[in-house]
Amino acid sequence: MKNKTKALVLACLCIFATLMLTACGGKSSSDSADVTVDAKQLCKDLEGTIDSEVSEVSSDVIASTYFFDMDKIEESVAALNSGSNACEVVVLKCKDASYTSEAEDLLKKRVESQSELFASYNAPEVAKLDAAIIKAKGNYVVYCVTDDTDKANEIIKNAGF
Amino acid sequence: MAQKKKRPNARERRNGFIINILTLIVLILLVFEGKSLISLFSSQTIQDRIRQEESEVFASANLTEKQTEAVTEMSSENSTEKSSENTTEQENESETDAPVTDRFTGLPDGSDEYMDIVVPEQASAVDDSYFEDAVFIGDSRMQGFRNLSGITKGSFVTAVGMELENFYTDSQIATAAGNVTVLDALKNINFSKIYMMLGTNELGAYDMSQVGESYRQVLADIKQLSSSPDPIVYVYSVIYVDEPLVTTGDYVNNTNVDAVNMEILKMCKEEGYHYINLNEVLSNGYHGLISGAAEDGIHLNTDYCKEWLEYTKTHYIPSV
Repeated sequence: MKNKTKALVLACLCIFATLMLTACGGKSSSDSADVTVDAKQLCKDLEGTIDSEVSEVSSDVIASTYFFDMDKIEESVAALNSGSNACEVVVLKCKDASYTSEAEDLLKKRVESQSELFASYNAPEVAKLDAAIIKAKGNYVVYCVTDDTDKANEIIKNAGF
Repeated sequence: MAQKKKRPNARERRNGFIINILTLIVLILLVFEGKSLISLFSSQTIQDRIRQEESEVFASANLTEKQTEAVTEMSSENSTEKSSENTTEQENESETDAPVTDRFTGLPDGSDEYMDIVVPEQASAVDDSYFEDAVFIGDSRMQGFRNLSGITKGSFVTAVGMELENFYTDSQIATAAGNVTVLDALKNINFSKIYMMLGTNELGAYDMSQVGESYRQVLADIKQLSSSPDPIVYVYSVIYVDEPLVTTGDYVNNTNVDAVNMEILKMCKEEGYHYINLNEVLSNGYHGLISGAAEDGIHLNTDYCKEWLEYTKTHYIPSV
């Protein structure tokens, strides 16, 4: 009887632990390898934090603007402006998480380059560039220069970054 | 005398074995799931997960609402645009005759003698492949064109603030290795067509004739870097501005736009370049930019950048 009870308890623990294993296959903000982001939606949401008009651009424009190695990128979405200001959004899904740090470095260079140019062209834009957001999680990288950094940060956090 | 321990029988041995196996399985699963278990039961994570799921639910609800709102807005905008167009047309008609839009539209007064270098409309449009060997060089307006027009071919060497004065000196073209000068950037591009747009940042120049001379020199140097001995040179007109919206200085006005364009026309005539008169389609007919074409009065929005591209595709020099 005692053995039977023990066996029953252990069997229940087994089932519970197995269920936990399958249940934890989805999105989890604490497990960076399992992050799944809707890149297009995230880009759209971040566009909402920019006051001026931005428009999504082709992958060719993304490649020539940010100098990413597009062979290492599975999905890319970016929104650029009319040339009047520094606001822009990029969301990348890299084929492998090992490329994300290089993508982040390229985006940091982008910020430096833009800051240099806007310092003499339209100085108030430099403040937005100083507050530029660059974040990576799992295979994803997000970059945003915006009119509302707080709101953008909240959107990015809610997306799992 | 103590009771001797009985040896377990086969059944008891089997039960014990099963229990040991189950214990092992549980331990293995706990090792894999230990981290998740800890996070599962942390209150912060529970709150975050609830918030995340809430936002997902509301996001999908909002998306449906936004789609409905967008359709409603589009239909009300269409009716508003139509009624405002009708009103504007009526107002224009009441002030003066309705402007005739043709290849003379948007040209500076007194530019008749330069009509032979103004690129006429061709019978058929080229597609983007025409731009494969083209380089587009220019200021922030050209950069906006690259970003918003949907053009898929061509090399772009653009920078906000590019002007004739800093053309040779400023490292303003972004590359993977950092910013370089325009000429250094062009050295790495094979091009046999040039599309050039400068002049908006020259509107405050004291001497417009000097603008013409500087433009002439810049284009001569660019041509030297072409992979073709005789590249086709297209020079875009400076696009009019929407003066009431401009905040960057009084000198950014359409009188100065016409003055710069006159110098550009002279230069094109003398050098055999081809002048693309964008103001034919972007002018309001009164030497100004179409109202609503640019949020800040200068940088064109998406629709008008697309218009720019379409105009470029129908205004080219057919190959002989």
